[in-house]
Amino acid sequence: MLTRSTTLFEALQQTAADYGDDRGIRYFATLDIEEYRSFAALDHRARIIGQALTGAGHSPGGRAVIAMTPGLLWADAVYGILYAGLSFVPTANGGFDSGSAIAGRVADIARASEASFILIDRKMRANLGEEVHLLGAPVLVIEDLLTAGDADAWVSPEVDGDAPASMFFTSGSTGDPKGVVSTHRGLLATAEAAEELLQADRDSTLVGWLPLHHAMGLIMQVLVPAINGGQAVLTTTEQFQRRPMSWLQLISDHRATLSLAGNFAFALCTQFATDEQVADLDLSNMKYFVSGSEPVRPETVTAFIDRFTPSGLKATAIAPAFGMTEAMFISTKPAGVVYRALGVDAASLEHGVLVPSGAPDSVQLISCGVAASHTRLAIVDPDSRVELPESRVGEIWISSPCVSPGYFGRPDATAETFGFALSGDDRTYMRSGDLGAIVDGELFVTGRLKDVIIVRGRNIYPQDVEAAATALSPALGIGAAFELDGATTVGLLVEYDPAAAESVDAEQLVAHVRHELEERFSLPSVAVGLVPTGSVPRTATGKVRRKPARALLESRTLTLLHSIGFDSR
Amino acid sequence: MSDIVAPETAQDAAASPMALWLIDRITFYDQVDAEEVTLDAPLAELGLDSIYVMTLCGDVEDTYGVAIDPTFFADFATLGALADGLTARVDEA
Repeated sequence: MLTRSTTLFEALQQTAADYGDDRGIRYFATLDIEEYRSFAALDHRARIIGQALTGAGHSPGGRAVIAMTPGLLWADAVYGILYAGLSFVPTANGGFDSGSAIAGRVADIARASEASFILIDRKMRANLGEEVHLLGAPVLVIEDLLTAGDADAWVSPEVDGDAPASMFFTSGSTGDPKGVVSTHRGLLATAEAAEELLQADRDSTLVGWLPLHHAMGLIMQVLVPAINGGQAVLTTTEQFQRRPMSWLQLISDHRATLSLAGNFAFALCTQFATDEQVADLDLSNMKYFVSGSEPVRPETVTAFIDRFTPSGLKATAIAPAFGMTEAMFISTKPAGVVYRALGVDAASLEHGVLVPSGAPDSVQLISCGVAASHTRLAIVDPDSRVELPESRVGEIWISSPCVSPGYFGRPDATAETFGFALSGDDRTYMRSGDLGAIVDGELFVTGRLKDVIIVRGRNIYPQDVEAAATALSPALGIGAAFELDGATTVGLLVEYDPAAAESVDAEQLVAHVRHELEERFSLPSVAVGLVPTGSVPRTATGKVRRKPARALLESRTLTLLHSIGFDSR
Repeated sequence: MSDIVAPETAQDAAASPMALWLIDRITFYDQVDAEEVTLDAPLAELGLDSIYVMTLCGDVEDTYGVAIDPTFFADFATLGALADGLTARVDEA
């Protein structure tokens, strides 16, 4: 295995001692501006920063917000904070927001995390301008700490493996941000899972562009290589967005074995690749193209494999994965096989059972694979809390050393999610809030528990209703489906753009959608409302927020352009 | 990948090379129907979300050698106006 360290700072010191300057992080701020930070250099800079922080009076156990522009200094910031015994709290600052927008966001997180200080860089200082005074906590500039600190005077902080190391704020589907705490032990266990499931060991080379303020980016792209001794080759999210193919070019140039991205990134590269690029690329060294952080779409994966097989891509390299901030990396495709796709009978799925089906109208599911050996997944009836057998759909529960001890300062939310038990099992589980089933030992995720609409004992997945509605007319866009009280069982709000269709009679359209959905899903009654484009609430990553959509409807805040079935509203 | 396109119709000939190039790229992104990508089209209705607006910045940089970021687009309401603005930006570089 790897490290016998019990803390993250011990682990980096071990890696620095083992590999010196031979392993590290190669960072491309642009494709022409390259900087290498060996793990020995990272350890040295962490000591400087850690000593400077201790010298400035910041004691172990506190929390430090990181509010820096994207760059290699993030690695120094994270480890500098850990080397002083505090935990780091990342904030998102990669965009083109105004100083006051950035300051507002950072101040909120500093307050919610009761931060001891906020660590910025000189570029952020310039971006913030006068607004730096609105941050509400002491502000430190990392370049100043690097000048002021003394690596030789650094002393290892007195914190153990159970101490908090990080706090990532997640809004979940309710838009209520909570700080997810991870301990040193939890993050080391995540590195262990990555080594076991993704061969993220000392012989691995990771390429990535995920933002370092999100858990998947920072943990998998910086901490895991630093703990396990693998190479990391990183660029910015902006570089990927400017030139999506630069991702695959970096993978080819650096003979990468591992990279992680969301489904949309695979689709973008399939769209943008030219035949010349495909011919020039060599993807044959890739063992794990991890598709995670959003649902994996079968058609995207198939198209990606078709497009890049001439570049040496092996179908066995595509690894759909499942994870969440509260449990970090949970499961992925088993080694050496092609990812598993399963067609299941739609009606049985509604009744909570996966029954394999080859019929043309079967629902296509993609396996998210298996968990690491230190983790156990259970499928549990969310009401009775009894574990269910294979092929039965229930809530996914996770028992793992990677699981968070809880949400910072939120005992009620923590009690609703963490610390559950199953009879006959002395493990502690967290409730994921996701529904799924296990088939032949592999996990299939079907949807969010809180969004599922229950009609006469059947699970109706809102994404299926929304997709069916959108397909009925080019004038219909994003939709939000949810359960309603009373006789009308399902409400659907869908964005409407009459200019997108030849000629549309809106009144006929809502009646048509209602009829089609009632038939297709055997629903006693559906209410359909057309709303202006852009008015269905979504998260920053584009996920539809169904409960807030329902709330907007009930409070009459939303403009209903045309509707049918919302009689008493 | 991002060649300059030649005008195909008399109407196209009235459009600048930059405008034709923008129409070509945005049509390629395939986020809205091709017939919606015209000089009069409001920029906000061409499917240029946070990802595609960055991809367009990258394409501009690769093809014309000028570095722009998404804030550049804020001054232009239509595709035609953007074409004029970008032409001016390229000329001054």
